[in-house]
Amino acid sequence: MTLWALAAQRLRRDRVGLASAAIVLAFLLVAIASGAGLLARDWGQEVAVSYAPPGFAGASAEHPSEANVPQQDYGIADPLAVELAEIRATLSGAARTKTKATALAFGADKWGRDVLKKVIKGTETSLLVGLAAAALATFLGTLFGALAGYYGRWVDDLFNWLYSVFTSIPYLLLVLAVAAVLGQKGILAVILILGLTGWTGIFRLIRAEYLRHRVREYVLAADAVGASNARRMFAHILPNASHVVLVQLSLHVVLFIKSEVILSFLGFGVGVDTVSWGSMLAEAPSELILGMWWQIAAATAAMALAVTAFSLFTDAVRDALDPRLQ
Amino acid sequence: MSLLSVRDLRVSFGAVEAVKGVSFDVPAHTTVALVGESGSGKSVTALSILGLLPKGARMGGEILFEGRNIPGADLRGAQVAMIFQEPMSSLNPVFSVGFQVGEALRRHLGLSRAAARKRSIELLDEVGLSNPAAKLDRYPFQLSGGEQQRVMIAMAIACEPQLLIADEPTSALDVTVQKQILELIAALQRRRRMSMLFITHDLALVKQVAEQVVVMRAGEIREHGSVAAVYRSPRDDYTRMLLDARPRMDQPARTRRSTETILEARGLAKSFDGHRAVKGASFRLARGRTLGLVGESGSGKTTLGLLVTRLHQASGGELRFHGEDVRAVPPLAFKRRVQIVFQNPYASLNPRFSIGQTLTEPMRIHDIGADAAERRALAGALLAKVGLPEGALFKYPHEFSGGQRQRIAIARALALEPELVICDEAVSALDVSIQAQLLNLLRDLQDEYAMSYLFISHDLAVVKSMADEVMVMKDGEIVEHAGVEEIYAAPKHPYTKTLLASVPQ
Repeated sequence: MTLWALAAQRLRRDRVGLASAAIVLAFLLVAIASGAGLLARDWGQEVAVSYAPPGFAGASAEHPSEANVPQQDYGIADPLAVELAEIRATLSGAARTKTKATALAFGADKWGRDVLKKVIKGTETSLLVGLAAAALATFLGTLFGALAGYYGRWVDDLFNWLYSVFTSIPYLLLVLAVAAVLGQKGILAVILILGLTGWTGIFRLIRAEYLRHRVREYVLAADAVGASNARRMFAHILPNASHVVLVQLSLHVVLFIKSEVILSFLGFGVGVDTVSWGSMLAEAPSELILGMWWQIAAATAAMALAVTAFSLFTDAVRDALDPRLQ
Repeated sequence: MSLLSVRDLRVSFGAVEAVKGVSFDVPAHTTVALVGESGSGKSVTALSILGLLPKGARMGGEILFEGRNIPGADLRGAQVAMIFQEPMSSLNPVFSVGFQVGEALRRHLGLSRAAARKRSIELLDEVGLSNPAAKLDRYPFQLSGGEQQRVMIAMAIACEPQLLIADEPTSALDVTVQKQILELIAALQRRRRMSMLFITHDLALVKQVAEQVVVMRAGEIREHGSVAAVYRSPRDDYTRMLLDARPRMDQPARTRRSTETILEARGLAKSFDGHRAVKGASFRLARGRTLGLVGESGSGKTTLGLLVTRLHQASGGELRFHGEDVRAVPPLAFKRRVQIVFQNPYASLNPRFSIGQTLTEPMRIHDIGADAAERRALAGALLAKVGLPEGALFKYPHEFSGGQRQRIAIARALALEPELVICDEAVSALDVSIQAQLLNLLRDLQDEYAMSYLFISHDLAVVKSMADEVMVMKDGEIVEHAGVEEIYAAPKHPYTKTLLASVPQ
């Protein structure tokens, strides 16, 4: 039985781990469905009145069409009156006399958009940012850590110097600096910001793993049979450090989901045409003053559930991959 | 009445029964040796006496101390004390020696700080530490391995126990230090009239220290009797096998003649940050012969082995392979002809590689075998050579025992059919019975492939059974180099004489 099979066996015995894995999987499915356009495609539609409260109480109300309001034209005849009347006639019914709900199951935001759909769409954004940024940061951290730990000497000095520079700047300042340099907003920018600044912790751990394994006898033995440096680094040592990589990857997913929220809250996150948990929370302060609690509640609940499940799942994976078996 | 009697002791961890009904006595003023290989249950037995079994272990049977059933926790320190195998990890690195020796005195005897300090100095003096007052304020890492074990012994005798349990107290130490520690323990035992339960895997030691011996295997007692009787006429097959398995110092050496030199070192040297690990080694290796390299820890013998394989680059001197300077030989071509087997079979195999991957990797690198199928067939043949089934190809290292893993490591070295194999303590981590099998395997393979060995070991008996010539190394220097019969019969250098005198016979 391979070590991976043994790890899977241990994971299956961990009930908390399995439950959290199911929740993580559910979140991923929702995000994928949303990304594929199967869910919450129309999240931007104004389906309810502004700040419609959560609940099922209010029936739909007929909103008077603005066309019925008599216009004051100071006695001048509208030269486009006929054409406008025709356009209104073609658009009749549906749009102009559209019914807007006064209450939605999860409430509505300032523009009458469904909070549930925003949460679903936000899940897609936040998970995409978290996963992609964590993948980028883990890739960079692993590569740098492997090079530094394996080669030592000046290569190690170089990467340690880089590490010191990155860690000596306060994190938020660094993030804002990278954001300013990138000069654009959007999901890709957020992923780059988080990935390019977040590799340092992973670098340190992977470097330590390589320092430890580099002098192990199995690596010496690989050297003795003629395995190249690249082969020793990535075919021999990396699989033995893979549990660290995997655990760091999932830890950083959690971290970056939270970071995206902070970035969006500060206005450096995703643009106004995208919704994420962070941008939903960013709208919350002004709403809370007015007593509109449902948007922050929905976003917080989704985030708390996802982050907790991810963290527990990470713990379970770490326990399952513990390589201290003989 | 016996000081300690163990009656039908049973210990199990989950479904695994580690000790299966063991009974023996330790009479007063007597040393009883508990002998067995790894996994025999000897250490678990000792831990049960002191009530130090880990949580989750179930214990049955009776342990009587002076005829009374006392919980192990109440025996500890005052009546029974223990010395552990690894002095380095048994001492707390963040407390001074004085604090740790004094702790037992303050706790069990209720001495004041000043009194405890005074007593600690006396104790360190008693265990033969020079300048004990100064040593009291040192930290464990500032002492040598032998000094640390002396401190451990001082702690053990601090409260004047009636029974001393020594669990492999010398197996982490060099042979010359081992001799001193054994003499110390024997002297203390006589002076203080203690009993001792001496746990070891080494039958040669038993003869030196014990009056009675209990041989254990797989949780059961195989033989029990006086040392003299058991050694003269062992009744049990397993005991007999253990006694025969150990290479003997009085056996004739096997020597072969060969004139073709394949490797020659001249003034080979290596320094690490100013520390001169190897100070100019010169020797020749002939085809099909074995050169033994003997030395204690820190003598530079492993470094010399790594220099010969070119896994470390020499900082001075010259290495010639078939008369050619090795720096002119391409590394890959050199590695194909010179291989190494490391000491620890638990560390030298990549745990994430299947045995098949491990064995075919060198073939892939050196273009041996046309395709994957052919290489797999070759790997299967190698496994057969070292006595493992072909099904092992698809397994991973953790599924094998230490001896089997070392066989795999040997098969890996053979994959390239090298001319020279460096065996760096290749059998030292293994039980004696396994050791004997592997030494036989190495001899057979040497004859079959006409390989040369550089056989590095701290174990003089093992080296004698393998080598044609022997070099003795001390502090980075080769102090003596001679034919095997000559060096064992008439050592010239004083260090060689000390080393030979320290070997338990």
